[in-house]
Amino acid sequence: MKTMKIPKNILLLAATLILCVSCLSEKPYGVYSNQTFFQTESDAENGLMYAYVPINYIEYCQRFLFYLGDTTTDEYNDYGKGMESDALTWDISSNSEEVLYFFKSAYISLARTNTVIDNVLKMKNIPDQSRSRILGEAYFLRAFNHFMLVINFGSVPLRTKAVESVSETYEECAPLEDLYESIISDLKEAMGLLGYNKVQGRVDKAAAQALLGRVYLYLASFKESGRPEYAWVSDAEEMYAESAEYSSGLIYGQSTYSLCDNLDDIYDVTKQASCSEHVFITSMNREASGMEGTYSQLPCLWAIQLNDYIWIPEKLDGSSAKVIKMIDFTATWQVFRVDYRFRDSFPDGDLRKKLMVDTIYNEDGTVLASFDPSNINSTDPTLNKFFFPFCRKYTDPYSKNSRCSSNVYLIRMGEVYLNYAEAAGPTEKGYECVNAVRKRAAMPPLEDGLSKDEFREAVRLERTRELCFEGHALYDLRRLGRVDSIKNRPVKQAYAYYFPLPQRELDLNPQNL
Amino acid sequence: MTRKLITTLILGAAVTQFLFSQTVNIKGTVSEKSTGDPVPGASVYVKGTSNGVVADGNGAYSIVADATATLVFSSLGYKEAEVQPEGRSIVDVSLEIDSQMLEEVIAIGYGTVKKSDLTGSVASVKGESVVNQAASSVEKLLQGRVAGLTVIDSSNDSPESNVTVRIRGISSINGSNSPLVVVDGVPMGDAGALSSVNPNIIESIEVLKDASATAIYGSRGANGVIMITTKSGIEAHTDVWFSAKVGVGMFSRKLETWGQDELVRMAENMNMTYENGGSEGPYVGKVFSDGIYYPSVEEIESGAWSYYTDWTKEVFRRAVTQEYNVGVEGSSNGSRYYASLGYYDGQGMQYNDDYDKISADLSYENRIIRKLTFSSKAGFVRGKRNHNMGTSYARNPLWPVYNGDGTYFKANSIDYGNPVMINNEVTNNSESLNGYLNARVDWKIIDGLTFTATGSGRAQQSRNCWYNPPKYTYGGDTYNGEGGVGESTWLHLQTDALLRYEKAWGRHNFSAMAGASYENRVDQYSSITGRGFTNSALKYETVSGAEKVTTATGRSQWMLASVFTRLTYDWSGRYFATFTARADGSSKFAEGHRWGFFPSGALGWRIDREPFMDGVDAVSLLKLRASYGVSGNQGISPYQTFEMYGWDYFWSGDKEYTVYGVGYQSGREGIGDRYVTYAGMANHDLSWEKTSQFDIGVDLGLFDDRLTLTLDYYRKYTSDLLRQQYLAPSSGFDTVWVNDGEILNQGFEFNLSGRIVDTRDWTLAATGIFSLNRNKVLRLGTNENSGFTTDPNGISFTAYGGSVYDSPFLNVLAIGYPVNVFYGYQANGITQSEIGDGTSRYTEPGEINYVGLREDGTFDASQRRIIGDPNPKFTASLSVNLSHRCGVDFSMLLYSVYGNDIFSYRKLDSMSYRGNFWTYENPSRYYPKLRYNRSYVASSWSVEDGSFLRISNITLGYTLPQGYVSWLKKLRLYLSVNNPYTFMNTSSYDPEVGENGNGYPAYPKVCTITTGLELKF
Repeated sequence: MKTMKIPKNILLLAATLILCVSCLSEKPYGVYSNQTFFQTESDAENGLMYAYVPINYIEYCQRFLFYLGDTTTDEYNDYGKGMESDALTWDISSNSEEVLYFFKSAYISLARTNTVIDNVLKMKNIPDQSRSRILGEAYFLRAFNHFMLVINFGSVPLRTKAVESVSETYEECAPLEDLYESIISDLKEAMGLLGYNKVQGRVDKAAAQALLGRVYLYLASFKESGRPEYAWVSDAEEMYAESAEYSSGLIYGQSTYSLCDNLDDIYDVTKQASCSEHVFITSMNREASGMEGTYSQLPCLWAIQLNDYIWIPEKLDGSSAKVIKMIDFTATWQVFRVDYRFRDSFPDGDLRKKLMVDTIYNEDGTVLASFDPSNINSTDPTLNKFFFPFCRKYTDPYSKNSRCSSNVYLIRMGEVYLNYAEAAGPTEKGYECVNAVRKRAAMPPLEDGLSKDEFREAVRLERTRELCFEGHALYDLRRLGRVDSIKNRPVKQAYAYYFPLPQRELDLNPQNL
Repeated sequence: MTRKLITTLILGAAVTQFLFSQTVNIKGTVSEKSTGDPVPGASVYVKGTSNGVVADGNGAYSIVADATATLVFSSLGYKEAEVQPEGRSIVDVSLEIDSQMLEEVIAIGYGTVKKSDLTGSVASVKGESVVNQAASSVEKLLQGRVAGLTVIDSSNDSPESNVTVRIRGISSINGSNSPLVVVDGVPMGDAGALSSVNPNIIESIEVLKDASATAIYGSRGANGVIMITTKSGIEAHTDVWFSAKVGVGMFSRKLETWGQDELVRMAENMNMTYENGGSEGPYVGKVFSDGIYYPSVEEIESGAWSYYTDWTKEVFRRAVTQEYNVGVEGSSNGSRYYASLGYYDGQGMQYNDDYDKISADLSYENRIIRKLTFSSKAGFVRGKRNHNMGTSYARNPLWPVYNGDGTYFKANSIDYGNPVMINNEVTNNSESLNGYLNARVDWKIIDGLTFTATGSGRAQQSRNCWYNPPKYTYGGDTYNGEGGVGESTWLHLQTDALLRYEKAWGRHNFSAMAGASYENRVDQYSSITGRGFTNSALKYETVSGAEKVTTATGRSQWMLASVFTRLTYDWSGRYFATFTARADGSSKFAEGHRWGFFPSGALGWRIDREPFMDGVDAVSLLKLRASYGVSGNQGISPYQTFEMYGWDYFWSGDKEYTVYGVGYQSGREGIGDRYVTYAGMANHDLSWEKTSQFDIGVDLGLFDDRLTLTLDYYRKYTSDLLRQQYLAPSSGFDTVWVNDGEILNQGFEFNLSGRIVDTRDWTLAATGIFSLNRNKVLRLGTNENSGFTTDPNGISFTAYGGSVYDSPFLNVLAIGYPVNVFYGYQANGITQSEIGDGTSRYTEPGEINYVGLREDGTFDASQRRIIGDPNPKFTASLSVNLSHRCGVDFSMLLYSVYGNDIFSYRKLDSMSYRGNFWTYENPSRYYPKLRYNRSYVASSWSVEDGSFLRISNITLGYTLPQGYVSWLKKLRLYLSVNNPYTFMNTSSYDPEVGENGNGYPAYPKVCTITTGLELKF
């Protein structure tokens, strides 16, 4: 009898075991995956917004775009006070943070974008209109990210599909030709899918048109300036013509966007969403819940470090005696120090010169201090800080401490007008566009009868004045083959036209060694 | 009192028994055979019953027993003796000293074995021998105690004392490398932070090293197993004990800071640091670019700037750690019990870095009926932790603590670094409650066949509260106060069932065990965070009323199902064979890859028991062992086989959305953890990492085991490495879990102990332990799948670990090299004259002369080499114990690590090279010039020799001779000094920085002086 008990126990064990085997499957809690997401239209919309997020990162368009694109040029100077970034002194290397994280952020946005495109193309339960819009925005983002990479690094891996396995991470750098072909076709695809629908932080058809205008303009001038890597571009004038066509389509073909009449409004934090100028502007908000990137601290970067509120005139043209706070915060950083010689190069009377502040006020509107280069040696604690004119394109008088709603002007009509003028040359409409931009800055029209080259040069000068501190400067010099024109510091020749690929990319994607 | 209790119990038992049989009263004395000295406290009991007594201080005993009974006499350190009184009423017994503890029974997985019958490589440590210092967890106390067991205590200032524990080297890359800790048969997880077990209740610790010993834990045995057996009550009598320890911590070497007489030099150096970088220095009596007014050098020199603060006094304290334990153990009428209560109050060196806990443990065992025994252990730990939120003694000594009006001094409005301010104003504390319950039933079905069922549950609930007020913290200023409460719980359930069978046929001894086990672990958390508080009076308590409240919840779960068996056979105690196998199914791996099979076998030969050894008296033990087996590793977090989406916030138009998509934030990196890292790529093929290990060993005992030697050679081969592979940034991910690569560990362990002097008055015993491990990466999958880089010098490597200075990584896995070697540029001293056109800051005189630095300041990445190896050539320890008959004992433990490289960040600390830096007048060949905006790459310049010899512990104790006070069984007083001095030769404050050689001890090792008292009644 006793021996009968043994098999019983074994049976019990076996039963327990069978039970257990069936309960080894995992169910991740609270974490979406490909199986549980992209089920509904709102999933698709939501995933698309996730793809926009990296653009707001400090290490992408919120700050590093300025480090790489602007601080490397004559717009800025460190005044012997040191700089936060290697870029200002051109001490850039493949190990520089600016290089690595700008690069990485673009690809993070690309990974998200490609996942949206791959999944939405498969989804059946989504109205055509929404599907077109979501896909259109995603194609735009894919082009935008690739373009940001190309103008900084040249040849880079082209990503048009979500990376889903380790072996797919190894991807050779694509030839520039393939990259531009992908950028252009994505933008044209986006144009076809999108309509006009202005929402802050998002893009619509206008952004695709505007970026096409910029891309073709870059190609034209790269070719014209004889950059050898662009030998494959067929013909500069052909590219100018393409550029002009897309820009004019936007300028003359719709009514949602237009050149804003008032320069103040463009940089007014309360008017970002409504101002007809902004084609693509980021959507950081002082009320946001997340880390920096969901809100910005942009004014801190430019404002001088008074450890007190900085009061600036409400209106650029002096038509109001009212003063406003640059930011409702006192511990600003004065990291981006405008070179006063750059300001000096603006003609007096150009309202855009006033965007570089030379006088600060007390709260009651009386003058507190005026900028002078010699202030650097002053013992007065206020003057001592005011040795450069600071940029006021990014302000937020209503900030929550340092958290601001100030945003990055990624694409605006001012640029589109100048893209058009440069591409079209001294035509009637060409003059019309450049003069519209000049008029807004209280500048007289350009002299009539300029040759094509003279006209384009005049437009390019206009461009440096209009788009300074907005992340364009170095890329314009590169496309025109003029990086050597940077005067206020030596340029590291090896990286003048292309920043090096990050060492991490070279080490971990050995296809590119 | 206790004696009376026992007597009553015994009398009670005697009376009961009297009713059934004829009993007699037996008296006598217990003495030692060779000397004739009495053996006080020997235990005497009637065989087969729980009837027992304890001999008094003179070895005299008296017991009532059945006339036909057999009496069993035992005492620790003596061989047990059985005597049949055969009617005598006076039975004097002399006990023979037990030549060695070899007959002791030690715990192996799912069973025990006589140490002499072991075929695997197992080392044993008695709990009592290590608890002479206050510690919140036991692992720390094992450093230098076991050959092949490495304990790295790189953060020895944590009152929670977390350490890194390794057995026989690193065999995994990113999967866990920590041994499995098993407490009373219940797997507790990775070794290193076992604060739920009170070290004082530990009976013994067994370290299972070879595959034969660990394979019974299958998928979790690859890194070795540490088996802890807690006390469960002694036989036959009752003990009440109490112990107290009070320790004071201080730095074992001087902290280097700028003294009051060096402030001028500090300011001048700092000015030079900026001037060399092309900027004006701060100490010029102006508001500097950081918005702070720095006095001029003249102001400091003349005393016009009168502030001076010694920040070390504001940050550090004499850390006092106290520990008290009280317990009772004993047995009566078929049951054994053990109960203890402990209190631990630990302080870190920094103010506000505290941990205290109360623990209670209870063990109870009862024979329900003749064949059924029930036993259980239960306990709880209540812990409280106060976190110091990062105070630094390196703050500018020219700044005061307070302003004139008594408010905290802030150098500028965003200076949140005043340590006194942080300690007083910032709140971050946690509380936890951890409980366990193990229940076990043993059923002797028939003779030799036992069925055991166990169930165990452990759970923890913890709560963290934090608050950052405005004005004093960055977060508080940014959000007008931020704070929150987080709660987390986990529940770990396990059930085992096993059958054991033992049988002897003549000289054939056979045993078999088979069982099954299922484990289920669930972790859950929820948290609430608030930003924007009306005021700071109630801190986090008003979190729900904050302007913006966010909540989060999370859950993770894993399961493990297993079946296992062990078969042993021996012939005549001479030839031994063991076979072990386990099959594990883990939920962490992909479907179709979940189950792993882990077999092992071992052979043993007791040569000394062979007839031909009969005449060789000097050899008391000679055993050869050999084993081979496979064990696994599953030490990764769950859900790695799924794509995991992440989330963030995004503002579209005028509305904020929580948005989701591919890639989740897996961590942060860079200076100040500024940049997010992303993971979330699925690996659908993820499976077990496997380690096969061959071990051959010898155990030798000479001269009645006065001298014992254990030698082991092992070869440990790990394949299908679970590793977190770094991905190219162009993939949009930073890391993914993969299963590739092979690593080989080979080593040699040596343990020699001897009772060098063993006289009536003096005993001198010493143990020397030597471990040598050689580690090598053999393969890293294929280039295509694992993406390693082959550099122009033929080194094939993949990055392994985070960034160092401006380099994306320092440690690499390089084929043919040990795990973790350093990869970077070689530094060839200091550049003495200008290179190139002077456009780059790297090429100026006084800069580090990197090999591969081009004239234009760019780097030739192909010049990178292997520049260091953080793996030691060997580790060794020596412990010496000297005791005298009068009760005084002395012990010392020396611990040494030799031949490893470390990456010393401190070499660049402006304090440590303040007298040596390069200048035009005094061009140093070893140190660069001072410069604030230098960027560094990983280079051999920072690589130093990490060898050290540490005096780990010195203990002086006095034990009152037994029987001196009749009611006192034990009184011991001791003074123990931990880490008093380290011989080393690095600029780092301490070379014990972690196994990758890449760590930054911010201050020296803490030396602790502990006084202790142990009492037993």
